[in-house]
Amino acid sequence: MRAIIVAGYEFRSTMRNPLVLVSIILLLAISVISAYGFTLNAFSSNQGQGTSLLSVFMTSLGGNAYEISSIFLILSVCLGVFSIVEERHGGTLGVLISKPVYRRDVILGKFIGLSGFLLMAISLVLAIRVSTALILHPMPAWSFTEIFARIASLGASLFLYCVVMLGISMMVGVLFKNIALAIALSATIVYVEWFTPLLAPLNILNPKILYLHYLWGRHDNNFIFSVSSPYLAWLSSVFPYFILLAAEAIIVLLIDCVLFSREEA
Amino acid sequence: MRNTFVIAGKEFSDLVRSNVMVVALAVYCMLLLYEYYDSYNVINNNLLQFGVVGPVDDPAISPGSLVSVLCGYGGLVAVVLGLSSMYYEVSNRAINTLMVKPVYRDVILNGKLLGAVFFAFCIFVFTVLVNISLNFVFWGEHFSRAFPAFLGRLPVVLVSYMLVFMMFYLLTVLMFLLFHRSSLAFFLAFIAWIFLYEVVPSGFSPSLASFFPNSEQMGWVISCLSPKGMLSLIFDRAADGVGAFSANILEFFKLMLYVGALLISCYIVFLRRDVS
Repeated sequence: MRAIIVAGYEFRSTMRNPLVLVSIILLLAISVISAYGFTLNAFSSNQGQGTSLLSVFMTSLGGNAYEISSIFLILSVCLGVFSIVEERHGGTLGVLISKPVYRRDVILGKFIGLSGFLLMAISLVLAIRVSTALILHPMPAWSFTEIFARIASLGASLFLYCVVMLGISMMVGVLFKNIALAIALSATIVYVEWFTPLLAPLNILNPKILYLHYLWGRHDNNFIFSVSSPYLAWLSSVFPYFILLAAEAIIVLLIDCVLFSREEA
Repeated sequence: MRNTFVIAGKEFSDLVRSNVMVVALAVYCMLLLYEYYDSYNVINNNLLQFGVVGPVDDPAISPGSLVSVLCGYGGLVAVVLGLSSMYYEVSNRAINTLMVKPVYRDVILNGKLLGAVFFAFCIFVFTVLVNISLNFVFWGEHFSRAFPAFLGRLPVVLVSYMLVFMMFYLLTVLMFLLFHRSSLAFFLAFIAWIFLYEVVPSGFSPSLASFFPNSEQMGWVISCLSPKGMLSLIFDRAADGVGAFSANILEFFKLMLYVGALLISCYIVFLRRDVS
């Protein structure tokens, strides 16, 4: 219960952070530009070949998914690491843990509050994406449930991925009291995880690989917005990755709780 | 001038003593080692299967690994160093103490930048030494023969690295001076880095170019405006020494333009704004 109070406070303070406004504007701009660009490019590259409206619609929904994910990744990491180190440096973390709340409630509340914000941001970006696609061309004659299920699956997996990275960056914030070191390590984790194959031996645990396998299939041949495979067929082939991501999110949260309970007041 | 060097010396010693340096150097070594191991395996496989090295540059003198590590991860290190150097100065009130002394504000900024440049140069020297050692380990005798050619390519790598490093360092300092919030400054600088290094050169430039007529060429132009695009142009046609500079004068000019614009913005903001 107390975790929910902390979560509410964290959510409200995150919403007041100027970082949120900047990131949302940026993400919305990229979403609109991507949807528009992918639609135009899909039409022009298929001229005279009987372009399927459905495939153009799905392309404009899924275009630049990788780039948008990378921006959400940075947003999660920044929110996670600064939610701990800035409060510790400003002295508010000390005040919070001297109150009659369990430390696990503090970290759980922060995690839930930030996750709530990420869920809201992801939903907003995806809603804008769908709206832009619908403005650019009419709804294709395809099951609405099928389209909605795919968009919801993309949102759910992106949310889980962001939550795992949020937990990892909070862990860095808890472990390292030096703000510069915590920031450097978070940036290094993002770089190594997202841009290098250094973690290849741990691919089965690497959240990025799990997330990409979920979106594109294990051999990059089963994209979430591909019209060639039905939704349930796609889902059955990628569901294990979703479960692994969810398990990682829970494990990271538990580790955060254990580490933070050793925090000195 | 003396004040500038005093501030530069202090900035340099702060950066050297910082824990960030240990992390940065360790990751540089790891990345270089991985790049070498990976390319060594690929080339060895080509040799075993086809009896040729394959359509790649001479591995012993190619600065590919060095450039990708120095300019890729180096940009991110510049972001972290820029943020930590400003954050500690402001949070410890050291910058207030400095500003009440009889030194001009531009001297403070010059000193900090000079210190960062020295530090970046030290990182470059360290990384090149590691690179040379790895070259000897992996390529042995072959590298001894190619060593002069390798050295001939280093000035291009150094200039490119320093420009990229200063670009992201100045960008972070500017963001901190403008917004006074470490989280926002870090986020914006990190986003700028990922935009210029990953988003624009990869999938986003065709989307952005679709707003313009002649979108295919426009997409190429947009991707060439990112540092990654410029670096790939520079090192695709890199010769050695002076030849490399004259062949890529436009790319170096564009990088210098970015650095110059950020430098002027930093001066304007630092001289006119309250930074305490």
